[in-house]
Amino acid sequence: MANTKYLVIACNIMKDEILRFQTNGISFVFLEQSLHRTPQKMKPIIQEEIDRAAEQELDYIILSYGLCSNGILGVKANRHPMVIPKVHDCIALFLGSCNRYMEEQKKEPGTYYLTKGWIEEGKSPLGIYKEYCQRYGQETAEWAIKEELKNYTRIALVDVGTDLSETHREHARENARFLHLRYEEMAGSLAFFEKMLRGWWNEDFIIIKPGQEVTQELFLNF
Amino acid sequence: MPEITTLKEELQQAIIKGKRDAVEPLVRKLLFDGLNPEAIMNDVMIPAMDVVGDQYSRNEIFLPEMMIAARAMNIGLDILRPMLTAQGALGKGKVVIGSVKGDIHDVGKNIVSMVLQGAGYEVIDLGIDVAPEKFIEAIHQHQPKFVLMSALITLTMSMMDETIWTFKKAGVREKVKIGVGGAPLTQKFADQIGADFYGKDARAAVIKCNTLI
Repeated sequence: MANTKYLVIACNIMKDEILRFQTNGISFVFLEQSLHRTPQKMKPIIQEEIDRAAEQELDYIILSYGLCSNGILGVKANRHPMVIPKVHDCIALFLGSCNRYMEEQKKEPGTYYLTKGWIEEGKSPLGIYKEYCQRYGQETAEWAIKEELKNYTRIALVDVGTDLSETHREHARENARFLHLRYEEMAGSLAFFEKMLRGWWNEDFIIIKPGQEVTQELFLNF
Repeated sequence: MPEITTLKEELQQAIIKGKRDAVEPLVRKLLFDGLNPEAIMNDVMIPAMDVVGDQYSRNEIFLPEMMIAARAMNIGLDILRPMLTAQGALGKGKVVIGSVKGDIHDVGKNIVSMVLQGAGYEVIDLGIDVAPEKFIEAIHQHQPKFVLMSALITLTMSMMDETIWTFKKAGVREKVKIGVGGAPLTQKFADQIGADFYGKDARAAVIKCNTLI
């Protein structure tokens, strides 16, 4: 499959993990992560990138997003087939499988996951708290972030083996202290990313035809 | 009575802007001026939360603003609740509500719960991460008219299906009307899992409950 051409459209949060599997024939577009908290804004931005690729000679577009709070619903590629990991959100990717994510969620639904990318993009609770401070002042910001996350019980730093430094760890621990949560480090995996980028698409992936829209049903199992 | 109109407008704005210190004096003034607790709730406070909910769904405000408004409304509700209870205004029936198993998010669910109380329902809030069996226990214990379930993340949406399925197996499905809600849900999903209704926000939940009483 040496000549297969993919365009990967992915969230900035997983840039390091994805670039591990960079080879000839794969091109990349990374989009900002702040879309996570405003999923309504995701679709137009992703669609724009897909449309931009319409003239390119590609075998597949890999959309490295999960359902992301319905952020990718309605997206479609008119000319190319599209491959999407069948996950609710990127945490399943970082943990290596959907089953592993479900197990962790079952064990402790109040888990706030952090990865290298999440920390670097400033999207940890402390990062959000800082944004709130600018908007609402410190007192209200602290109340708001603690109220928003009051049912969480642990901060889990997922280590997928992409150079987590002591700075990342300390930042994750600082988040846990700030919110009075338990801190844990959790082994992640690059397996999902590898399958996605090497074209080993099994039942963990959704492949849609040119012109077919992304729907919620594709992701939910009944 | 222009003064009452002004006070009502001020109270509405105080809730929308989340000015909690302003809420109590305004509610007391309105009561003193003769407005009844139900009218304060229905004509002022619930519409204020509607405005906030609409602004949030249009991305004009963020989650903290909505939580701040809800906190302000709660102050008003705490003052009015004993009066509403005494007047028998909470007589529309019982509602059991909770975030489904695996879901620990409750900002939206708490707003629905608050608005339903304001609209005259007796709300039994089971909280977060509510297992199907806990809902069933509550149905036996409280004999509610409605069971409302919330899910904020797509990951826990399938738990709603499982919960309804467990109701059927336990023979309690037909004893209650089931309503579902939460940011990622749709009417289509509610139909697929066999819920009686979908509420896109707190106001919709109240309207649907009112029509099904």
